[in-house]
Amino acid sequence: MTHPAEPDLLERFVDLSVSLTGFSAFELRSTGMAATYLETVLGEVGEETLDEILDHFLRAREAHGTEAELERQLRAELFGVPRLGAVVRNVIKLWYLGQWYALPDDPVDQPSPQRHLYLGRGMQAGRAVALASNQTRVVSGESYLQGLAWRAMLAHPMGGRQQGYSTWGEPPPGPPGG
Amino acid sequence: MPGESVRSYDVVIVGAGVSGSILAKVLGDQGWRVLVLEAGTADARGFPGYLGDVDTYLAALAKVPNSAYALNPDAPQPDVLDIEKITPGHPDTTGYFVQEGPLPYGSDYVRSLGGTTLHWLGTTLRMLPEDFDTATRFGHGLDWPITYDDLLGHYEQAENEIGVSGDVEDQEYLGIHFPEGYVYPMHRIPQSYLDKRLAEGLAGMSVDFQGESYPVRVTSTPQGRNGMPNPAYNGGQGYLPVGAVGEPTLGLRCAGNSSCIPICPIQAKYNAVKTLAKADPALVGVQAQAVASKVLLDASTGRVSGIEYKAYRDPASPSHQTREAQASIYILAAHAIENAKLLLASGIESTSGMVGHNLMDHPVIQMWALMPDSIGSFRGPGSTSGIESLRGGSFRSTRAPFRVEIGNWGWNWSEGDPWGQVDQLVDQGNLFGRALRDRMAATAPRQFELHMLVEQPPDGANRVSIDHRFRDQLGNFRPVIHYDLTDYVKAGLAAGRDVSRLIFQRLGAEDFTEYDPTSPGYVTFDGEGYEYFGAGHGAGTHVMGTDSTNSVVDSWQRSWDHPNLYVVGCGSMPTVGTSNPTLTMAALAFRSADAIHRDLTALRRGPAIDSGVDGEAQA
Repeated sequence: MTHPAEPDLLERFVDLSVSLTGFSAFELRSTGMAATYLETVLGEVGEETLDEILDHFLRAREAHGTEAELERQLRAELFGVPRLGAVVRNVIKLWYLGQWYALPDDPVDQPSPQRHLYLGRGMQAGRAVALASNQTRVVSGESYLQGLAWRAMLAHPMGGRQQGYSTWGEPPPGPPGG
Repeated sequence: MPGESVRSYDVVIVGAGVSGSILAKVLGDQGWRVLVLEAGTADARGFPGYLGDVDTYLAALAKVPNSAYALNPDAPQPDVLDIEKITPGHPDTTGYFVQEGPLPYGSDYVRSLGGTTLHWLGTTLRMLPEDFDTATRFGHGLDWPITYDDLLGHYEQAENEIGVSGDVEDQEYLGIHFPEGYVYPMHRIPQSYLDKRLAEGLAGMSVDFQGESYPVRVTSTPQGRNGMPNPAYNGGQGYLPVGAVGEPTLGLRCAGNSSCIPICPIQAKYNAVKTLAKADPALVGVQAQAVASKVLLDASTGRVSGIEYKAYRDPASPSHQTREAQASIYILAAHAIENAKLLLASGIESTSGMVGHNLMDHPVIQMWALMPDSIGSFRGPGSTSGIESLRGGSFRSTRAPFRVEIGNWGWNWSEGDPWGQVDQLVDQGNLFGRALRDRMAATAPRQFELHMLVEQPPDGANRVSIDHRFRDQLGNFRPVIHYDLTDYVKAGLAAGRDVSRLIFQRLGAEDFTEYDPTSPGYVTFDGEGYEYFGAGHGAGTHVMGTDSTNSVVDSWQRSWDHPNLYVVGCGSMPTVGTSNPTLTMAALAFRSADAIHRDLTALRRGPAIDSGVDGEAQA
């Protein structure tokens, strides 16, 4: 399904994620989670659905002029499309929170035969379990710590990235540049 | 070495939480042979096991207080996720508790080596002197058989053992006093930027209760987490912070991981394993995965003759061995609710009939708002300051008092942020990309919460009981709980809400507080709705008093009916006041240690038969 002339799948996924999350490709890659999240999405919705999303994204980007028009196109091509919209909203939450949310209806027409390889294990009630697909879960402890929400909040993940003694008494950071 | 003869222990302690650990260490230091039976697992005994708990937390979907501590069917524990609204006549059996209602008991605890200090916030406030005789002063609750002054020395022992960071100058309010020259082991934990802004914004503020004026003062909270040692401590000897168990150079100072509840990744926060780890290993044996199931009584003497317990290897499996432990003195230190459950399972209701009754908590009400400007929320410990100046006064004859805990973690508790905010902005707000990121940056850093901990007086109708229909997979009883809030308490919730409105008005903060009628903790009072949660402060189930008809234990936490049995912990507290109870519980444990040492010494000098001490020369 990858065409030799096009950028590889991971790069296309990161490109999509940049528009979805508002973080740069550099910031996304620095989480170290890009490949894991791609695998998660593939495991949950399958290659065909992801291809469709990436095609719609490409169409929206090629058609746009201004930022406002791009936003409108993305809403028309992705967010406002019932099945695809649910998935892209999930991709945002995957990046922001390190969590996959169970989708209301199983969006996959043809599940990937290798779905089980992508889903891995997770924690439920404190015990590692092999998870069924389409189940709300934290991808991993690392994905939780890498959640972009903490960066958007100008904070650090609760439970990690300690800022040091007495730093909580200092004035808050200003908004990031750019 | 303890372990060979069934009569080779001087003391058997049920429970390795803060009370049990303090008693084990102190009695071991005095040369007594101690066996501690802990129902749960001992993850925190070594640092790798503790890190496993940290990992469990990081990957947990709902980061509730028990989310770091794996479900153990052989030693089950309550979880706030189990709490449901209760339909009258239909007890809720979702979780470990059987909740009869009418209202759900909102608190949880940990059944693991270290107990609930594994997930506690770390607040170490002393009770007010007036908290000890509320019946006499205000006509509510029960009087303690001891006073604040009786606990002065023991509070200091507790503050030493836990390692409290605080400044005495901040804590001398409403009658709390310290001996001349006393300082805490470490200096106050630095206040958060939010605290400082609140202190500025509320400067000079006062509120009126029943015609009397009370100041509203933001005060640094003394807490059991490592800070900067105070060189003046202990007559100039200073204090050496205690780091992580098994990794002593880690956790020597709080570094702002902001996950005190449920787990401090570096153990800068105190947990009871730090105390247990200091116990003399030649004298103190600790057996985990050993659930006490019965207190055995000698019918003719009324003395305890042993503790029956179930030892299991695999938490998932019900298979176990039933054994007995014998000693001269027995101590139940398993938590207020577990102590009561164990006594009832043993047929011990006490002459007073009060075992299990007077179950208390601190109902907590939350309010949340946005400061006009960023305060950099979600940084530091969960709370570094509070408003303590409203905790006492004559209004207590009419309504329950409260303390205000200032929350540093944004709307993490009230709205489940950042998860709640991301869901809402993406799914309802239809934001994405830069707009989403910017919106979060514009709001989250301004979020803050106030938590009001309201005093709940003892009420005989609030109780723990047992029922043969409700057992865990080892065959031990599950606690059956009957719980309600009186108007006295609800009036306290309402007063707290009123004060929060004044605070937000004064600050120009945008109030987002909203209480949901469908939530389990929703109650109405005077035509308004409020929502309460549990503070994790189980207490009152074996109160202390002046005689066997009005209490279960004496002021040393010794059972009136069974002279070689001590029942220790917050369950002994006749009132909870408005302070988080752990420091007082620890002080009481030190006080009991003195009495137990005296009892053991007297037994050693007495006839050989009951002493349980091998090879001692007889008087």
